[in-house]
Amino acid sequence: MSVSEHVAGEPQREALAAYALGSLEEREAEELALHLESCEACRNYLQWLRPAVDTLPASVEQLRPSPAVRQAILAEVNADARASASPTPARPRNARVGWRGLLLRPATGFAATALALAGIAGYLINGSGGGTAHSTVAAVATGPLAPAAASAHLDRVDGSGTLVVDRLPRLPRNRVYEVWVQRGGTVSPESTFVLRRDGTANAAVPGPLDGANAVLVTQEPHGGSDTPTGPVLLRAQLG
Amino acid sequence: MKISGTLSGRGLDRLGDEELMALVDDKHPAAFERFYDRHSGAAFSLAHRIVGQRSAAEDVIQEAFLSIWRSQGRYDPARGSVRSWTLGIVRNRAIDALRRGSSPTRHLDQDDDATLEGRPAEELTDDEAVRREMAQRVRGAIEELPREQSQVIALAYFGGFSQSEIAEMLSAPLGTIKGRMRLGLEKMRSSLAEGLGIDEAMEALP
Repeated sequence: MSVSEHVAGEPQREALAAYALGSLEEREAEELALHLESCEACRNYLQWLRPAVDTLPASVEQLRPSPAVRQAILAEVNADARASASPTPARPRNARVGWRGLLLRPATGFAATALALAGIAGYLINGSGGGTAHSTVAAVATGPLAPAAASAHLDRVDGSGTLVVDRLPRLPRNRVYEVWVQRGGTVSPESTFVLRRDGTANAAVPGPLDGANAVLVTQEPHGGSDTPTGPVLLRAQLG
Repeated sequence: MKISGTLSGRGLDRLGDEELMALVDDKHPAAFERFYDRHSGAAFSLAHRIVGQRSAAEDVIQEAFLSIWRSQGRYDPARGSVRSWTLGIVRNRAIDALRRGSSPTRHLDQDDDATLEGRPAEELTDDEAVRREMAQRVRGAIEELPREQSQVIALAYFGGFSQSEIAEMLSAPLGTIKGRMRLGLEKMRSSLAEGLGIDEAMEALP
């Protein structure tokens, strides 16, 4: 796309260039933001222009911030996290919407195969610094169709984790894998995922995992379910 | 039975920026730590360019990163990459700091040894090497602009000046300033499209 393909007139383009550079007066910027909501030509031009502005920060002399800044910021972040972790707030119901599609990648249509899980290993390694607890919970699948082929482990850092899977069966286009956290008698949805082209996937397990019994994976209709509708395919036992 | 994995949550490192931001939005400190490590160098460099002093730039990135951690204003992919969005926040904070600050004129101090330019490549991390390379390429594109165009762009973006302030500063008609700003940006944008390879390099940033 070139400039000439944009319908926006020259005065508009001048205003939009200044807007993109953060150089309009506050009132002008507000008016233009309002105008943008209803003007597609202006939106298109702004979107076309934006990468030029986005490269500007990359042109400056590149420096390295002091490690003390990192320490100060992370200390506040960890203090915030500790403060909000006790008591553990109920996970808002609508929060799971944000996880929808998080790791969705195009799924190709292979028949879904059942995968049963047998060997489960739990392995806890204490992190070395900063009071952060890292652990890895590993599992090996021995399903009838893919014996020992699928592997998965949960990388756990403090209260949350990432489920790293490899060689799970591919799913039909209208199905996804869904991750759950089991706590006592309840199971709550965490995220959905499909496999990358190479058969691997990373799925977010935001948790909190403290006090949870296990992380589970099932196969669900596209978009995920509120409660599991299929058999448990993977289980990472936590406690 | 097989034990795999790492001590350090390497799974998080494998997440893309947008996936990581979803975890940051959900207040996961380990995800935030990765987010900081990926973007703090670029953020600090930008803040330093704007406020001109190391300690002030450190205050700016501290404010900016903590506001991202605490804010309700979540990352919106429609606003560009995570890095662009983050740097937009840093830029605005830095301009605020500049306006609050006592010294009205920016001075670009060369007083620190933190610059990556003079260091041997082997002392740089991968990210730093990419950033240094990018800086040289983008600077090249800016240097191709007529001086009066690159000047108004720099005053607007790094100086935080409005068009009328720039017009006054340069004793030029407002319409002229507006035109230079538009022409300069359009020219930069077109050279990106013409294969300076900056789009690709931006995407390759860790």
